[in-house]
Amino acid sequence: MSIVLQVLQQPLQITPSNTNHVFNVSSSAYTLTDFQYVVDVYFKGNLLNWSSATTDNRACRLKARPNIYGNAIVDLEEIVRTFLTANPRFTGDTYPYLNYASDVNKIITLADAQRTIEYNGSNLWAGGTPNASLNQMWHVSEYKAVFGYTYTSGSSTVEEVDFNAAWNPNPVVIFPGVDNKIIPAPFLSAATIDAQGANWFAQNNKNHLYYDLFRHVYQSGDTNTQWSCNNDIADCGPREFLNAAGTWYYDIISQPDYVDTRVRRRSHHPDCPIIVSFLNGKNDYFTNDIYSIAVRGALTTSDPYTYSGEIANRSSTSLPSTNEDTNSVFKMGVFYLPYNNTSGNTLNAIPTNSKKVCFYGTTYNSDRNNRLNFSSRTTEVLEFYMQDRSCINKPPIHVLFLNGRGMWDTFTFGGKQVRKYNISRPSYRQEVSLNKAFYDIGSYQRGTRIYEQDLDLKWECETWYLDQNDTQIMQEIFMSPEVYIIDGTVIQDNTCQSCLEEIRLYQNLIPVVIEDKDFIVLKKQYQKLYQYKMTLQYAGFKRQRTQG
Amino acid sequence: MNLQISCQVAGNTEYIELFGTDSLTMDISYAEIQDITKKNSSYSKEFNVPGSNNNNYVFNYFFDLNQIPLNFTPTKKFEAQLLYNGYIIQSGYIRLNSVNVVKEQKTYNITFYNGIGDVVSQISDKFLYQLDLSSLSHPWSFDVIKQSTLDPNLFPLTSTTNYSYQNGKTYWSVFNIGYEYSANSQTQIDYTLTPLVEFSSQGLNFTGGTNPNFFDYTGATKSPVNDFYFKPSIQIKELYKTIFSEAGYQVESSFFNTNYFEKLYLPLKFQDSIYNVNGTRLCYNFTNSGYTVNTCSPSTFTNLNPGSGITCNNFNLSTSGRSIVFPTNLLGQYRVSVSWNITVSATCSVSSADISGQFGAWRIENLTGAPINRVFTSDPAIINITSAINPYELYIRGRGSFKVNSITLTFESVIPFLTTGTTIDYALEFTNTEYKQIDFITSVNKAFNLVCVPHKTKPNTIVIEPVIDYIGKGRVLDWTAQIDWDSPMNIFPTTNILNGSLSYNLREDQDYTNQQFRTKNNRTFGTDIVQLNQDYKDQSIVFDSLFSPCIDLTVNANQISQITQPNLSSIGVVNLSGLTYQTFKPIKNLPKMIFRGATLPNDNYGDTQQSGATPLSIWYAAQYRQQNITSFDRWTSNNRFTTYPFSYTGFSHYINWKSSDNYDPDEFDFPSQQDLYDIYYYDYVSDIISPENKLLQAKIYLTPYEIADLEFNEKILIRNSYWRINKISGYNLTEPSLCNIELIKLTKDYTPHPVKYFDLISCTGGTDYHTTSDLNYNMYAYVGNYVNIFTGATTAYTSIGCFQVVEGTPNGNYDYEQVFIGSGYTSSGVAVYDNCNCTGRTAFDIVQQNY
Repeated sequence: MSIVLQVLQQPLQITPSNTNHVFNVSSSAYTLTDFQYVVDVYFKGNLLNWSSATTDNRACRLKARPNIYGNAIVDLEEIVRTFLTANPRFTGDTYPYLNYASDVNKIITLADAQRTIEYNGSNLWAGGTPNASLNQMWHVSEYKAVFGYTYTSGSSTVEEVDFNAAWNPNPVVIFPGVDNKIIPAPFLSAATIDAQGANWFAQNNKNHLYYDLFRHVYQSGDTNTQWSCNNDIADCGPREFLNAAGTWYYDIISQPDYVDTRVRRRSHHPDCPIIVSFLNGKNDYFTNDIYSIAVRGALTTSDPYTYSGEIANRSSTSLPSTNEDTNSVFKMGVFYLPYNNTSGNTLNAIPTNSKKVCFYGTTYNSDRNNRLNFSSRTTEVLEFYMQDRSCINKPPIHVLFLNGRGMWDTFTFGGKQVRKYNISRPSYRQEVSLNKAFYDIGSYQRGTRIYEQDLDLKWECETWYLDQNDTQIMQEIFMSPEVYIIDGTVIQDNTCQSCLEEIRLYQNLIPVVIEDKDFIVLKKQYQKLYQYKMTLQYAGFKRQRTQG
Repeated sequence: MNLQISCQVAGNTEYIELFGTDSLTMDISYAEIQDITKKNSSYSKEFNVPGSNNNNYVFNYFFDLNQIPLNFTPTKKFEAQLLYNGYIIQSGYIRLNSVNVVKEQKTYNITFYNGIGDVVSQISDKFLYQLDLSSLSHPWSFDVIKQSTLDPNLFPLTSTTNYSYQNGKTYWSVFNIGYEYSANSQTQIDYTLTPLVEFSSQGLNFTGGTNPNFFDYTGATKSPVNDFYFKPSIQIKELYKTIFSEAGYQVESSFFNTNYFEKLYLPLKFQDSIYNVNGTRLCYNFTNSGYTVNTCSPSTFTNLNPGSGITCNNFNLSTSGRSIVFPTNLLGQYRVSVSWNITVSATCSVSSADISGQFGAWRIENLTGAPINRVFTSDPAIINITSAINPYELYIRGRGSFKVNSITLTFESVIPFLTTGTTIDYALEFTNTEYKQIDFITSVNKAFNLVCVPHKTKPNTIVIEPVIDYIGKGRVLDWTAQIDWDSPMNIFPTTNILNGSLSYNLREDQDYTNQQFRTKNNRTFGTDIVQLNQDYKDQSIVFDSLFSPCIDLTVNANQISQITQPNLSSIGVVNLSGLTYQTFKPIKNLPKMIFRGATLPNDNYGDTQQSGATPLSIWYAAQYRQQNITSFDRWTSNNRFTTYPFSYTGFSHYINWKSSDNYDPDEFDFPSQQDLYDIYYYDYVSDIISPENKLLQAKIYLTPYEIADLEFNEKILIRNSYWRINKISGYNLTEPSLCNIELIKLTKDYTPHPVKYFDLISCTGGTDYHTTSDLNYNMYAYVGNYVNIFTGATTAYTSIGCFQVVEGTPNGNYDYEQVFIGSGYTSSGVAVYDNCNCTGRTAFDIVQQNY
């Protein structure tokens, strides 16, 4: 008999890995004896061409009996969320000093700002092909759910799972975003993506989920129409970058003749690399028009932004017309103020002593000045107010962390810091072997012998005085499972021809875990200054020893 | 990196991630390698591992309620290795115990167990009959019996094939298994089926028996031992290795590879019948219909047609008209049954002549048609198909007027035939649900005090050696500098380990020798209790066994009792007319170990007073029943004494626990020679209970590498004394650390299992050869005489001359090798010579020390 399945609901084409991945499948054949739906979950990080999938790519198989409606509703969240691995490496250009770095050594804190880089698997050859001899960590990838069925016919069991069956939904792009359950209620006042419902999340064949990502990245009602959406949607578009920043929206940006109500501002250490992440290009729902990331700088926080550079993103001048490859669905721009090398190999287009730097997406305009004009922006404006180095303890502790949207972010602990060592020295008392030709106490008898040293290393850090808005960043660090201390080599300006002052090459990421178990969000009526303390515990396993 | 667990799931190597924060400790002790059933204490370790992305993948998302297994099957084990910094410190298996889910956090609980633990879990609930013994299968032929009289040590000389009965993995031999009795008398042995396995008499003037009831009868018809009376045995080594092999492990053992250990066999006599399970009873069944008989003349024949309506013909008998043609080798007794359906229309008068004939004559008593008499007085009837009435004719003869609507005849042979070409399946010999594999293994281990140690480099390989050959025979490790002399030490007298008594048990079988020994001595033959004679006693250690003792009986009338056979039969009692008769019946025997000794020429056990060169005391064996009668001039000793009838002090021993136990007063008795305890336990026990001995508990610094490198045969040097490892506990798998060690002092070097050395001196002044009993066990029998030696590669063995066999002493300059002597080469002569020309033949010089 010919049995047909129908997948009634499924996750959106791009879905955070840490959220419900609910599929709802039905069939009129569900009354057959012992009928069960079979769900095969396939994952292959580099599998852009799903037609080449084999059972080697099958992660698991589930069987589900139909419910009283003949459907099976399965949630793959706990399986899907295990597929990805936060990847701090990248494929692309590093600062000039490190152009020789091999792929395995390229970490994103070394990327230059000439062009955006992709969130994808590490250790890829040019073009995205994985290097077979190295491990890949897939930060963003796809999985595919394949549906079949099994039932009993007479004395035999019939099982049919066809990878190419027409009812199988398309692969789902996943990224390590947060579980939406902890996100506040969505703002959906006028969101709509097609004519079937007032709320596009509720349309048929969708799983009715609401993603924090889309809440902020797409916002209806904006007057800017430089971006384009599918179908009949005229006014949706990208809004926020995928960075951690306060939810406080500044009404006014310090720019003559320009007022914007979509500005997020955060404080930043000038020596800490800035990572600006965003959802890129076209997908099933809209087209994200970021031709480049505009970088603007000013020498004082009260000055208008007078300096400009850009991080190239897209080579085509026209809007993308096909969905992005999985590797480039999410991208980032990395900007290091003391040695900024932006598009066109332009060194220090933004003064290294800038007091504020902001970023926003641009739409294509052949005139660079017009393109970088605030009025051409296609996104929010993300402002970084630089802290005064003299007010910060040296050396500051810069951290790279995975923020709540599954993207890399940076922040600096610049207040007081204490490094604590706790060492244990297991030992025993050794006596000399008598299996010698001559007894020689001096040569052999050591007495107490330390055979191991275990070091527990902790950093107790304080922030500088943050305003209330920046507590959001601290909250995301606190909740991040992936935190690294950014460390590297200092290059003095006298050894660097093009350096304006000493710079750092951040080639080291020291894995740490947040030891603190509690976090308090402080709120007061007026903008206040707060100082947070946090203990970072060294997560490495190497023992500190010279012998043992 | 430190500790990792790598495992193989569906052919892929996966790494299980650990928490890495806890110290994972394991124990290992000597007790486990000595008694593998104690696997649960040390050979397994439970771990909790995190529900990380990788582990979820490895365990196939087992936590999901809807999950079904793909690569990882939770009910199956999978191979795993504990790696310390990439170095394998233990190999074994992992099984998933559970997954604990708290909110979204998963924790897997797994157990790692090493090879020994795995073997035990594999075989603990399996029986011997479940073994796949197909590798031992071979086509049946009478050569199986012939070649079983040869020394398998020489089998490359004997055949180009490599069947199990040739290479020694199986062995067919004569045992006293009881007899078939006449159906009529019930007390009279049916000698045509089972002649007495005895020589009929001992005298000066005959070359064979004169009584047709004995197996040496040389008269016109002879009375041979029929092939079904020979019983198969399986080499203990082969059975042991097969058990391990089916559990996925290989055995590596110098001891197992000795020619000595290869001579231990398990007789397969687990049915209460004299016949072989592998034999097949011939059946020939057919049905005819539609005959009409209308005559009152008894001389009128109505032929049957056995070639029509055949429903069974498993031996492919041919027919000719009204006759069934029986091949000569299938002649004998048949159980025949007739059933018919007739319609009677008239009757005639009858006479006794009507029922003459070979088959099927009948008469009608009356018009009612019943009863119908046949030539058979019973149904079924036993008929004896001989060459005189073969082909066997079938017809109906009688008087009357009737119609035979249908007639069905069934023939079934009384004897299950082992026909040439039949494939022997040794697994069929075992009974179901008896004799567990683990019991067999542990019984062999106890008999020879074996230790089982996982091989430190070869995966899935277990090293198995006797304690006396292994302990203290490995590397010397000076651990003086690794003991923590600051930590408390405990030193105990070894009475804590061993005191009281040691009970070495065997199971008592129902054969009459065992029963009568019990009646006389109130204990089981071959068992013993060893009193350790210590002041402090609080325990009795019991060594139980699957095996029952084998008790040997001399073969009647052989020269000075040089040949014996194990008794496997019981006494039955028949009451006839108020008189009680004793019979010897086959029983279902318990497993026993027998020792396949040297093949003795009849020059030794025959009538040595007989003049002339004709071999004496020949006995006979036959294929099928009374067919292809073949004479044998040798006897392979199956005695519980390893060199019977020879006796060498320090070499020969009984394979039970009490050398002084004897049943047959005619048998050579060597009560002062050793038994299994003397050889395999005495040194070990006396070392432990020595007043000089101590048990030392201390803390020691050992790395995972050092522990992984242990073979448990090391001599541990602490200051000025040697110790052996009794237990290491709490050793950390994640990093080098202090752990607990328990050492037992080695007060003496254990005497290894006995070995004799032999030199073969060339009669032509050429190269001499040297061998040992581990290579050529039976060489002791040839000492003082001369043999031909063969050598060559693979099958091209050629004689290299005549050599004198002398007993030697160990010599480090000699290359000891297996030699192929011609004495067991031909099946027509044992061929040991008394001269350097290797001509003529002579008897072995029987050496009996301590007799």
